[in-house]
Amino acid sequence: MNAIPLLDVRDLTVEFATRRGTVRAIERVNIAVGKGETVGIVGESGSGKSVTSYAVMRILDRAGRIAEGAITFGGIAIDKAPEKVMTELRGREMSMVFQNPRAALNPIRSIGRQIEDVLIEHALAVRSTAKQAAIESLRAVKIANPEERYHAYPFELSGGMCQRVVIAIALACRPQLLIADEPTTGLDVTTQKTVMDLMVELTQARGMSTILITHDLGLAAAYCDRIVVMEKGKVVEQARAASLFSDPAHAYTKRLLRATPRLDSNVRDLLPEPKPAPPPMPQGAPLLEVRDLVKEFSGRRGAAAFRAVDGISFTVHEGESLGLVGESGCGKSTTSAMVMRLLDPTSGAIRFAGEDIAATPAARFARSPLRGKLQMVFQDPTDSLNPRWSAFDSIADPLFRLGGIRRDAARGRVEELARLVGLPQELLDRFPHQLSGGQKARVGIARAIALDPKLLILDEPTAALDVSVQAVVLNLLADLKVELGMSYLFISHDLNVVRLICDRVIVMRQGRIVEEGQTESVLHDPQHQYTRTLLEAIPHPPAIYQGEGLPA
Amino acid sequence: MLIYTLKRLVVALLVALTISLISFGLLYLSGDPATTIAGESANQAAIEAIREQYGFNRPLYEQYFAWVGRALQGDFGTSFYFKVPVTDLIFERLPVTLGLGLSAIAFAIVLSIPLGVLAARYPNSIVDRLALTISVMGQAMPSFWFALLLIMVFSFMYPLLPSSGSETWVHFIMPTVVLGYYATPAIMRLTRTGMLEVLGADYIRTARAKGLRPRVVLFKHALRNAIIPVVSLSAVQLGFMLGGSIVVETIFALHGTGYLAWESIRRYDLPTVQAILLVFSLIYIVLTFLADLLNAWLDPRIRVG
Repeated sequence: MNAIPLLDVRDLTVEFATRRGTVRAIERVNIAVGKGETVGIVGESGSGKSVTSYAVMRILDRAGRIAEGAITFGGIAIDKAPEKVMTELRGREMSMVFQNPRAALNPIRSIGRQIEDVLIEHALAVRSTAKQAAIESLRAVKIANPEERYHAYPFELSGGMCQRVVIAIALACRPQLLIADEPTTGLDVTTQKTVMDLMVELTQARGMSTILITHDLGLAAAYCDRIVVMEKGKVVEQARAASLFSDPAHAYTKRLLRATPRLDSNVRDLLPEPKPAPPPMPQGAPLLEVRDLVKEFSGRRGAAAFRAVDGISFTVHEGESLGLVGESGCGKSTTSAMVMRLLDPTSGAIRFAGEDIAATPAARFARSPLRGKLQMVFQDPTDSLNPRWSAFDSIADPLFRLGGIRRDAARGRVEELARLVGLPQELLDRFPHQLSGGQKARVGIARAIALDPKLLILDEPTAALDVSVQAVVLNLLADLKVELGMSYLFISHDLNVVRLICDRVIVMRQGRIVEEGQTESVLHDPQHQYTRTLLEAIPHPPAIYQGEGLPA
Repeated sequence: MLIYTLKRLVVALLVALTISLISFGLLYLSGDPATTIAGESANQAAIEAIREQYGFNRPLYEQYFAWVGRALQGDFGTSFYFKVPVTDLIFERLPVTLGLGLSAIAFAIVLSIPLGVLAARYPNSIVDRLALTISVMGQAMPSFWFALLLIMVFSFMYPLLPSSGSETWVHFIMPTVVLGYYATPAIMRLTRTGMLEVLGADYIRTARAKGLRPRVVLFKHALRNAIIPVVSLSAVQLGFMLGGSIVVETIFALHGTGYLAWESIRRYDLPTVQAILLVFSLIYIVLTFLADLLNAWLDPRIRVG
């Protein structure tokens, strides 16, 4: 690091005016970023990592303000600079890449125009030269056919493509500092790798400094020189990436490291306190048998029909957990929707508990006696709960509709379910917005197990949760499975998480199964090239925290 | 874009066809038209003669095609009451109604969009409160009462504006304000809500992070997104104001088509009612079609969708 850092944040406190008074989002934060350095800011939701970066860019919401402290960037006092100076700096000297790239782009402006905006605003191009410069920027982020793509709109591009465009916008003016706020959250692992590699390549070639904000310790470890750990608005630890992993000093850092799934950890390792492993479950007769399942979506205006699921067969035995892994668009969600009987297959059989449930149309399956035996936990705990229903209402609803339980008799059963999933009784009358992410996940699980299902379909149940919450929820799922004698069909893009829960795993790609086998053998000795690519794309904490003898 | 335009055009034509059927059916809705025309005291022979003269004894589909065929050539028959061609009646009065409607929507847009944008830009500020007050008043106040209030103030207390007639543009000022104010609350609220939503969107944050000036962010990036539903609403409002300006036309004694429609309904002047219904429905269809095209031009997602 140079003697004078490019960015120096000193004792920064940011406050937000809310209806319930002033809230301190971050308190006395100190971060320095040297020229050419990559610093990771790691923390869970609510840690203040994004607020810190917005304060540096001075794009806080109207309610937020820098209450104390100083931010110096290249000799300029950011906290005191007039707005006019800030507009000149933003996009020109410091720029930002955001989470959810498609939403970060204006939906009704072509991507070329959106790059031109920044070039013209900062007088690096005029109308006549802007197009060429924008195309150059697209080429720099390795977008094929930049001349054609120039005219494309965000909705016509994939998530990974959109993120490249956002990066192109951020780097168009060759700034000195790039702040990337969860740039790859929500993207597939292989896309994540290409996007991150691209970002590192470009920033290093230009000698830029980078701040990488992420909740993913593995990602921070793989790409950062130094890591700052934040918790509840405060910096609790900062260290060089390697030493942070080998020798974490703060209790929170240790907890975070523990909770991050690694290749050698089991589900109990994630918890702060040791707990005996759940007893292995004996595996019984086939419970779910899927044969030659096909789902075709008809093409638009004479285009060829699209096969989302292209003839797959698999079996889930009683007491077994099967993982269904693949990247977005591989057909795993379509498969789960068909098995769940929310979607009718084009052809093929789904035998569940000895009955071909594919024969019952999805619309009528809701009244089938088997409906209660086949339940699902959805991906987003917030979106999958009715915002106007209390936790009690959500959990009790399947009991009323399918369990034949009367309203006055439901209380006892709901309380029992709450106890099973570890949801405190007093939270039952709260509404989703009054619950934390982990509590909402518990409500979703309680609702799914209300009718004693035989098979639970888990669709990325922890993807929207912080790692420490994920650790607890995964353990809960592992315990419930044994306690209630359920089988799981676990859908995920995250091989590390699948490992912890599943006995067997299926890897899907483009609607087909490319590999299938016992989880350990698939992950340690993948046979298919695609599985290998997936595994290699997962960023890992440095070697010291990895198990021995694992493929790098 | 071409495919989209053609699709919308087909829909518009289908709607026009339906409307023409309804307008035609109107004739038979109030019983036997021949008896109606002949009047209460007419004898059977007179009714038969009328039936023969107007062709009511021919099959319905024949009558319909004959009617549509004539309508397409601008011939809507003769008014039962005025005994002059309906087309002349309508075209004589259409300019008044169209002028009033267009100036009223222009007034509403010029007032409500800037107010809506300002209210969203500075939520809970004085401007926002003012906008809210204007909008609540517009919703609560019946237009006839507002019209009378204006006449009282600007024609009697301070004789600045004429209270009736349609001779010069000055005559149109008060009707425009009354009718335009009627459309203001909806347009302003939609603009405000849309802007508030858009200003909180991720891409506005991106635009700020790009270093664009606040003015550029507000107009080039936010307003263009927020305005899309407002376009459709304005078209609907304009259509509504053209057809529903009866109260305003009556109060200010503007002899427009709204007034004519009202009179004709009272007089069972069915050819006139039919023609007005058809003409205004067609104007409405054209307006909606234009709004769809404008939206498609604004929003690329509509073009492919």
